[in-house]
Amino acid sequence: MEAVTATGLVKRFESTTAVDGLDLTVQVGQVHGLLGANGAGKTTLLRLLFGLIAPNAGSITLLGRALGGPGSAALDHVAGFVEEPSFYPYLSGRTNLALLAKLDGDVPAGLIGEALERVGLTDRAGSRVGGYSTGMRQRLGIAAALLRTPRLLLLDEPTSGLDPTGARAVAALVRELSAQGVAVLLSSHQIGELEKVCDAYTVIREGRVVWDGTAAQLVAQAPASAYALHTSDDDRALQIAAGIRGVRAGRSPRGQLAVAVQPDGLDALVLALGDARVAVRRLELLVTPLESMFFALSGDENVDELAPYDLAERVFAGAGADS
Amino acid sequence: MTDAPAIATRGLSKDFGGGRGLFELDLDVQRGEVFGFLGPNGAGKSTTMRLLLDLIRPTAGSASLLGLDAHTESLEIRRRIGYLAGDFGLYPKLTGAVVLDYLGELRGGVDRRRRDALAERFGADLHRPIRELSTGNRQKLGLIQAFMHDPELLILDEPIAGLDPLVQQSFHELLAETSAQGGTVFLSSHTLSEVERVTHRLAILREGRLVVVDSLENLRRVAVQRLEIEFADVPPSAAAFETLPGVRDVTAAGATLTVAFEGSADAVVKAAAAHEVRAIRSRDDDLEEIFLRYYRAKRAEAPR
Amino acid sequence: MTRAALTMALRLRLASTGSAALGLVAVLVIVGALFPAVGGTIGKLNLPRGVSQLLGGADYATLTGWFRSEIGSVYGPLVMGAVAITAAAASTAGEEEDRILALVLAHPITRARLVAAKAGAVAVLVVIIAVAAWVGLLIGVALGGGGIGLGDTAAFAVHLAFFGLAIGAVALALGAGTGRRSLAAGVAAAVGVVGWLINGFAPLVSALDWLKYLSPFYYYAGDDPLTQGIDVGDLAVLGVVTVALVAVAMLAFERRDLRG
Repeated sequence: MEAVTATGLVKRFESTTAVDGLDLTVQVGQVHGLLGANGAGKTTLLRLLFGLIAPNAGSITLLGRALGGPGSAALDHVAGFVEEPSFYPYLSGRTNLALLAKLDGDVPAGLIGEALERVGLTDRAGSRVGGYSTGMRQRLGIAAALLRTPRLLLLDEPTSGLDPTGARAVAALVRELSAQGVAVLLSSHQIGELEKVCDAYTVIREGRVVWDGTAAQLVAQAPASAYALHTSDDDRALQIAAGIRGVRAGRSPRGQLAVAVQPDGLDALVLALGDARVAVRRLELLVTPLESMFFALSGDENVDELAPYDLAERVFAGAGADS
Repeated sequence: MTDAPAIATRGLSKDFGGGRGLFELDLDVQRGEVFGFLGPNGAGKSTTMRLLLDLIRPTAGSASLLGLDAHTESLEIRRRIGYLAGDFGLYPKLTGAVVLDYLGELRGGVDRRRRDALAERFGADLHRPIRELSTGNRQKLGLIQAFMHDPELLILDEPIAGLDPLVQQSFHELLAETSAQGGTVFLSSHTLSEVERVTHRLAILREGRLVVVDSLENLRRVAVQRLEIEFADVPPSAAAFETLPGVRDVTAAGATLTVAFEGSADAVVKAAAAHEVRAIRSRDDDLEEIFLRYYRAKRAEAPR
Repeated sequence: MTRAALTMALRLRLASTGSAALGLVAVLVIVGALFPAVGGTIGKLNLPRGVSQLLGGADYATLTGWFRSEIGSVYGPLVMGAVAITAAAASTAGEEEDRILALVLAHPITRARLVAAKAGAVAVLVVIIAVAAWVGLLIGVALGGGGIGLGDTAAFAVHLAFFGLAIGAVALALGAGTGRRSLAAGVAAAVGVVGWLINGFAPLVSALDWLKYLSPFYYYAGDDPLTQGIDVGDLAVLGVVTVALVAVAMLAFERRDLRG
């Protein structure tokens, strides 16, 4: 069953068309990543899914029920937040949750404490939200969502403002929920974070979907990934790499050996190096499949035509000057 | 003057009471470096930056920027540096252009072309009221005001917060350019791929104290790495890998084996090559693991 | 650079101050226009002395008394105080709470100059309100049948201005000193209200009569500028207090940590 089915969504504002014929499907129990540049329409899409705004065209079905306006029954068991979760700054975290619980109706008493526990806010639950850092407000937002025992979670940048430990906790929570059958739609700018948890992705650009698929399909279809390579003989490795199709190798300004590879290219390279008795000491992923896909789709180039070369350029450009 | 480090702190401390604050920070950031400042939230990174900017005053110790004392010569320092606070505000009803003009005026005037070039590079809209802008677009304004006067030193607190990957990329390119031209960047970050790509050296702060200062290269050397190998058919047994030199552990999931090892990947790769391999992925979990280990450890127990 | 800061501080409050100024003019004009019809009828009210003092004499029989009661004792200082206090609190503590100040202070401007710039902006806004009061009063007096001279109306405006400067300076010192907008505005407003009450009631009890010297209202209206013109002594006190408080603001701001 599908947790979210959005078809032909269109949303126009005064000066722009934020969403322009967008289709989206999220399966039950799936962690689905939503990726797009600023202004691509992610926030508008999430607002549409929450029923906060109405589309000019198209339909939305959540957990099998058609979505009407904000009070729609379709929103039962749907929780989450768009942009920043909002709370009463003068009240404590716990009080805020209690208020929300009251608004929702039958929320069992112990759930608030449990939700706070799950997001790691138990010790600060008694302090005013006004004094919370961004990360804490974020976590409180997730706790608030958990209160609704959601079957569909819509989260906008849930790890922004969180340090790696916090981000990891959120990732673990998401995976846990997904294992319990909750569908999660996650929008994020942190490609690395998405790749850790997502089963499927949708990339949008200018209000339209430009790529959609599972994680496996992403890896297969991504133009290329880039790796940093540490071998026993970098010069030799460079020579060998030059002879392999689907591999482009070069050195960064810091002298590091890096390769940009098509999906099969890396295996061929590593095997060829082995045959030539060049030991591979370390292989570090520099540009991930999702990243390369995203950049390919966001540029003017057609996905099929994007050379892996561009990725290497990007990698080297960010590699810093000689120290 | 030009020999002085871009940033030098000696026993810099800020005691907020209750164990919170910054304690005895000794740190040097060299000119031309892109220096990463890491640590869990609440570790004291923002406090450090605010001390450097003379926004708050130390309870002990001292700091100098570009060879000048952070407190007594703060005015001169602020002429030559750019700063972006972690959580900053801008005048909501004014447009980006007006605010940037104002901030430029506070510096005695700034080249508009440089500012406009930056705005174009980041895709920032300077002509809408700030309250109408998204977090990402506000962040762009913050970056522009820090860079637009070509400072010698940049102090940036979580600069890519809210930026989409494309703009993150532009920003990283800008950092590389800045460093290539001799500028220094001191930035805090939670994004490990960013740290990996742009920093020359990094420091990790935990509960107000410095846990480690080193290059990523050196930190990796002591780290455990992981290769995720997806086999075309039935994968070889974990045992085939566990006995290889340097291998710490092997986990299996379907057709994929994840091998955690130290040192050279050679043995693992050769063993994998004996079978039909569909994909080899280096998991940057090990990078995350490296940092998390430092984030979690008590200072005395930190690796190395 | 200080000028840029002053201009910006001004710019941010100009719209609201402009509205307040226009409102003040309108009220003064209307009040003046009402006098011929209403004032004579009401006459002089027989109120308990303290209350009457609070209301500036409650003498509705004469145009001067009318204005003194209707505007001089409450409404005028209320508008002036509100404008000065909110501007001072917002530009210091407000900016700090909104996390803008940190960014500004990362620029090459000393804390003292920044406070001076904000004080300057408040002063300009105070002058705007005072000029509005003067213009409104002139028109209102004319509509009311005349009887208050040009010099006296100007004196009223000047006294009102100095009142605004002093009460604004209280908010500035608190705002710059504490970084808390509500506190700064609230306490400054309380100083105003308490000052108003003291000025009304303290003289009733001979033992407490000296308290009036602590009230800004005493120096603003105590010597009745609407009839007596400018009292240099009064203005000097308010002026000195203003300057002292601005100096305190600068010192306090220089020494402390920025919040955030």
